[in-house]
Amino acid sequence: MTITTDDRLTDTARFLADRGLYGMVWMDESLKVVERYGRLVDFVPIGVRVTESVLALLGFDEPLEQLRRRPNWVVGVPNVLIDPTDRAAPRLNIGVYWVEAQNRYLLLVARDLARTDLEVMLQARVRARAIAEADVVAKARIIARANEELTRANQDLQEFAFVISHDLRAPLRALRYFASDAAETIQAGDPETTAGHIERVREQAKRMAAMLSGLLEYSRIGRKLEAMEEVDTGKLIEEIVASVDRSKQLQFDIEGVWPVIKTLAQPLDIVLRNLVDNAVKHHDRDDGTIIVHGEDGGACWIFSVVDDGPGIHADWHDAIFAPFRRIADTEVAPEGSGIGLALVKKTVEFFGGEITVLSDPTRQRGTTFRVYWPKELRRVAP
Amino acid sequence: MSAAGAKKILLLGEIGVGKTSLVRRLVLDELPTDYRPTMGVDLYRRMVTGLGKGGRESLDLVIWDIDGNYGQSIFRHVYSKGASGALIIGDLTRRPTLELMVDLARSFQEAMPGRQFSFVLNKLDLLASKADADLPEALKTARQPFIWASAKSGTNVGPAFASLAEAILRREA
Repeated sequence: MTITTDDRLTDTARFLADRGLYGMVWMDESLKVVERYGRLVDFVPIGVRVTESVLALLGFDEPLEQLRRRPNWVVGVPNVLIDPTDRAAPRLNIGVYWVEAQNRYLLLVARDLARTDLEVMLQARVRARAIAEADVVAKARIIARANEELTRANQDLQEFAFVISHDLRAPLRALRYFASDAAETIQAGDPETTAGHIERVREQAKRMAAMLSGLLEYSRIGRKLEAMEEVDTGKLIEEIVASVDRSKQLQFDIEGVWPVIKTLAQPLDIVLRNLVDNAVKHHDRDDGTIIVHGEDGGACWIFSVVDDGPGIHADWHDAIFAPFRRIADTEVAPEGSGIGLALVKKTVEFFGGEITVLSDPTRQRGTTFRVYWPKELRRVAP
Repeated sequence: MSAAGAKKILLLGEIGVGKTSLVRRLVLDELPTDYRPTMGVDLYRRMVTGLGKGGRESLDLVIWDIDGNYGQSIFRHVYSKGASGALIIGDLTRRPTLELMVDLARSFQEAMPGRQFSFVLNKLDLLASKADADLPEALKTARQPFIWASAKSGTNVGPAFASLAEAILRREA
């Protein structure tokens, strides 16, 4: 675009500028403002480089200076809103020219008249539809997540019904038998045998209480809101190993990497503590070795508990993770409520991790439980 | 209204990812309640303080909130001229917008080598957890870190702009 120096044209431009349709700013060779006309450019100070006051020209110094070598060129920035506090303010087209005859620059600011209301409305509708579609997708995800929760809750309910109706009946039945036996020996006037029966009743009641506590803990996984915190896994595993009740000849080796991580402390404690407890309780010798090993697995931390106990036959690898399914392969009767491994598996999987068991007693002794604990836990609020 | 020393940054991303919401949350501490797509460019200004060693430095940002319709052609448009950096924004609930982030970053690096940019994952408030985000592999493995943000709740909005300002300050010091 070539700007002439015709006086009448300049007068016309000044006339339009006064009515708010144009703004005109004249700059000297160094781009400092020397004159301005029109309300649209009221904010432009005289004597200051135009690139410092007209934000839309920020960073344009070099192209503007090149205009002097190319007088028919224009540096233009279309469709700019320079006052975002007023979203109804006019959008502006900005153009800078070099007027060779006057040896100075001219900045023209004009209201953007090219976009009609209809065009604006149509574009807004197209975009609003895109956003609405995205909202539908987002809502579908929320519904899918709710369904997933519901399925999980139903599975829990079925598991509970099974446990209550099946597993808790065994100690109840034993209670009934021992109570009947006690009644008979009381009638027979045999207090010594009666005391033995009552002791067995007490043991069964204790077992039932342990089972119910375990069941309660199992049902609470993931229901309690907990905060992420820095956990020193090295300290944690040392504490767990120190607290476990075991024979003095049963040795623990802590190996690998045990970093400080940001995670949920209590669930990780449940997982490691139960695996360590399990390794001790089901060991059939006094002088074994249990290795706990930590390593960085990329997206997760890998924690392993390796024992040299009797091992677990492959047929039991799934069953050991169900509540109250204790295996009877060992000569030594296992202690505990029989829910430890179920707690571990449910906790690990709830947060998006995985647990595996490696053991084949037909080939060699020992069992390895390996937990893949995610660095980014699923179902944790940000 | 002097812009001496001011740095121009671009807000890039697919339409509707929340570019305007993020900048208005930052500058005006408001969230637009009606969705009005940006057409052309809206200019905002914000002095970011607490930068540099000891937090004694500041940077004057002129933020170009650009019409999302331009896509990758923005780098041929006059709007991108003279920018010192960019925030490349995606909507965590719309995977295609996250895929575009990677393409925009690649084009940005080609068009403006050495300029700073950050990834911003917006609308975190719509996810139950970060683990629910369906992030493209290319984004997960990108060397550039990403900032989880929510214009709605204000989460990480200030830090998103501040970290870019810090990077620009370090590069252009």
